[in-house]
Amino acid sequence: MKRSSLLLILSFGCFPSICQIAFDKNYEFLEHLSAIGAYKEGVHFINKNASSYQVPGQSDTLNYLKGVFLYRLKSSKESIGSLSEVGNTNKTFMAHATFLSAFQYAYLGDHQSAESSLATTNFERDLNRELRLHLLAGISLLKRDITQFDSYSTQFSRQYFQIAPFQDQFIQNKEGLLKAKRKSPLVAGVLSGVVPGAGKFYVGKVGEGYVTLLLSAILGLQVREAYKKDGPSSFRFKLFTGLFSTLYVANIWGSVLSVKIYKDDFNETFDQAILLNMHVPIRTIFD
Amino acid sequence: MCLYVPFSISAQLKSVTTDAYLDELTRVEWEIFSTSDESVIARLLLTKSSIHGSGGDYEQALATLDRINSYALDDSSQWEVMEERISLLYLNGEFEQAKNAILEASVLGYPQNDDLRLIEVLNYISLMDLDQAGSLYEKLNPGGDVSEVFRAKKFRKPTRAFNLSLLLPGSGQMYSGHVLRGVTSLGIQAFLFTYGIRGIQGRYFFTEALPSVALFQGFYFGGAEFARELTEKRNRKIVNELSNQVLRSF
Repeated sequence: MKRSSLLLILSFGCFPSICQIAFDKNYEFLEHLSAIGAYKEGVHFINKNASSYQVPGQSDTLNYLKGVFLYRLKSSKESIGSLSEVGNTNKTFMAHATFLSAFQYAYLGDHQSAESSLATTNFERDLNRELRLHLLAGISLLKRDITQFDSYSTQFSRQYFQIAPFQDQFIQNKEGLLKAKRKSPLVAGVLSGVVPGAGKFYVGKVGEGYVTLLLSAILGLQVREAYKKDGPSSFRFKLFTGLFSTLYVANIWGSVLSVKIYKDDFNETFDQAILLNMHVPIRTIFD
Repeated sequence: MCLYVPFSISAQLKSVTTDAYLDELTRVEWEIFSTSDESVIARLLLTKSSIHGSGGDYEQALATLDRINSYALDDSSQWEVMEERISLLYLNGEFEQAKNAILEASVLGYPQNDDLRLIEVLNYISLMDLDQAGSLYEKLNPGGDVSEVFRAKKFRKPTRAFNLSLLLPGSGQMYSGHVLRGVTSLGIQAFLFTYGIRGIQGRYFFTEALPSVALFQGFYFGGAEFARELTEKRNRKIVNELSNQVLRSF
């Protein structure tokens, strides 16, 4: 009886450390999966084993790793879900999880959530505080809020080699945004009405402008030929006049639309550049 | 035959859940992680590659094979790896690489078994080399049902179809076996040509001659490109038919 009681006490005493050893081995296995790029297997393994590890430190680690694996698999929403579960038992995991969440929110276009996830976290390391400032500045640029960007950029310390080059890039991005010429759909439409294709030249689509001009000239010549040879009441004249009119109106409408396309292209190119300048420092610091 | 194995497992796997597939992959990777014996790791990686292959993920299966340290394996196991790689290259549509791997296996003196010869036949069919495929098939299955088919089937050259269409519109489509399409193409282009000439004669340069020339040009080059595509499609159909016939004959 005494011996069995002693064994029971001993086994209860050893239980937490046995659990920790098992967890450590699982953690090493997950690192191994990460190293070989088997992220799907990693997520599957965590899903199967998560219920066995309810201790805060362990569950934080698993949520962190799952979030990172999902991020690598480009499942941003699911990744944010896991990363938001990471507690502050491990400061590095917590910081990385916060930055990855903020970046993915920004990537998904949810700027408010990106900002609030950064604002609610306290960072102990100066490097992390600088990275937070960098990301907040990037989000301001994504929002096209130059005043807010200026308020952040004046605080850049530029003393961390992992971040400083990208802070300079942000300044260039801002200058690019300020220098970008505003294009008016009205001006494009009016120009195309006066000279077919001129609206396309105005938005910088020179090739399309020449093609439109050439097509309009050919159709104009066709109308002229039909009028001279068959007269204004002929079917030929009506057909080519109809074609010319359709092209003329479609060209004005096309020029108005091309201003919107120009703006979308410009914004997308800039957003990609800003997101890249946000992303690289996170990877450089934490990978 | 070994080629049936991935096909049959693949069919079975469609009925099981992704969870079971990932379970299996994770279990094998755990065993790989838990051992330090290189030969055991190599065997397990071979197993994992087969699981990926049976799930239709041939690229991942090939990547898994690349992790194998061949020096840790004995000759027969090395041959297994080589055979698996050749099968996967074929299944992944990398026919030239599969051909090179078969040649490499032959140069290295690996035993040539029927499984490998069958893959070689199928690979040559995919490379559209019916002479090689036919002679290999004859060695593998002398007097087999498909031998005659190899002699009867002929691939057509897509470039020749394109050039023929440039020489005489519609002839490329006819060359690829689509006579009606060829005649239609020829008819449309003949009409446009005649209409254009009529326009020039009547001095309707802009309203008749110019549109006819523009449309004729579109049909002329578009028709030649279409003839090339039709020939490629026809060749792919022959490859599929022949491969199925060869597989069924065993």
